[in-house]
Amino acid sequence: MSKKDAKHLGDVVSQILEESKDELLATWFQELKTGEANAEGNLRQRELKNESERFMKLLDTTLNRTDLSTLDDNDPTWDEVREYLARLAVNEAGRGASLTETVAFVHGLKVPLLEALEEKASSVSELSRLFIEISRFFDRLELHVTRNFQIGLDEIIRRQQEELMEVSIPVIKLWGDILVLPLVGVLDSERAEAVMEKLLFQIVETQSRTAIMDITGIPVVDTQVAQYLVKTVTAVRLLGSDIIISGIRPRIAQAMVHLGLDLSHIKTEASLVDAFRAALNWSGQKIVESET
Amino acid sequence: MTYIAKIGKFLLATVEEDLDDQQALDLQDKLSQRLESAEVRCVVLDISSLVIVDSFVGRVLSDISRTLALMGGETIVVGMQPPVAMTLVELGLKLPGIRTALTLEHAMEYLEFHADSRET
Repeated sequence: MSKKDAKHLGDVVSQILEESKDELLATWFQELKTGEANAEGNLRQRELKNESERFMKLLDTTLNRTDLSTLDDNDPTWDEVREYLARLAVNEAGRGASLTETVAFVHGLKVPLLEALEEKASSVSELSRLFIEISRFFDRLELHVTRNFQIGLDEIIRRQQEELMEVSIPVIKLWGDILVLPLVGVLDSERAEAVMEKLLFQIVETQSRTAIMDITGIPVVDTQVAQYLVKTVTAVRLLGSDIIISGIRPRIAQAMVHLGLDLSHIKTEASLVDAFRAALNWSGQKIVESET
Repeated sequence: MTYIAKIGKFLLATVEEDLDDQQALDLQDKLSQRLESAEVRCVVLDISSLVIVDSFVGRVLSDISRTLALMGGETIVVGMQPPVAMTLVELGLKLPGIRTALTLEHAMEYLEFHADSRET
């Protein structure tokens, strides 16, 4: 194959993009069209249209500077395209779109482009060469989109875990300088550590002299978690506050004894009510029934 | 750096941000001397500015309280920050016998009560 025959694929593609931009967009858009004809669907269609036009323009500008085959992870000329697709993939993941839907966006351009290519090629061998190169190009783009979609998903999971951690540690001011921390659900060591941290900071912030940790809602306690309970009690005392653990269920009490932990210096009460009463007692207060 | 002042019936020692090993030892030294010369029985150690602590400083804190106890004095550690408490606990330093208070105010309340009960 002579040098003259071996047209640069980038030139061919950018020629196609310029000559038959509207047809390409129309076919591509046809490929993407899946949504229903309601208001939301229409909005989505318009959004897709904007995105596809933007992507095509970006592809065109990049191709004027370089060739398709130069696309790899490091070439800075492709930075804009890569960044655009990365942002798109992360947004789609955040929107709750499926991976198929997201990849289909890029994939949708491939078919009309290949169809248009057929008219441009002068020989069969050239056509097959262009086909292979353009397929490879789109494969790379799709891989890139997939990778970033995954990054977007990971980010969502991480954020949700954080939020879950936040809502699962409610530290409430119950009365005067009494804080209560009702724990519900399985306590793993990561959560136990977060509990300790949150409690300590809240105690200092509110200057509470007594904290009540109610563990009625905790189904199981293993060695590590029991160890954390002891550590939390010690740390709270170091701050100059005191802590009562309430609601230790029979099975947990048995487990703690079996684990051989020395819990004799920890103040415990049967229920949250008893703990509250004890805490009031320490500060010289008590609840009385009204006279009337 | 630390600053020690005599206020009424107790000594107030304020620990600045960074307490290196030598400064911690100096503090122990100074406090025990002042306890003797100033004729007070109680030392309030305000460590609310202290945000970083290592095993050595942790041990010195515990040593201070035990030293002063031998001399008939009492130590109240005030305003320990959560990260410091967590570090000490992780290091396994429970500072046995040390008295703690959330704020200077709480410490003084305790002292008043304590002083009253001593006199009677």
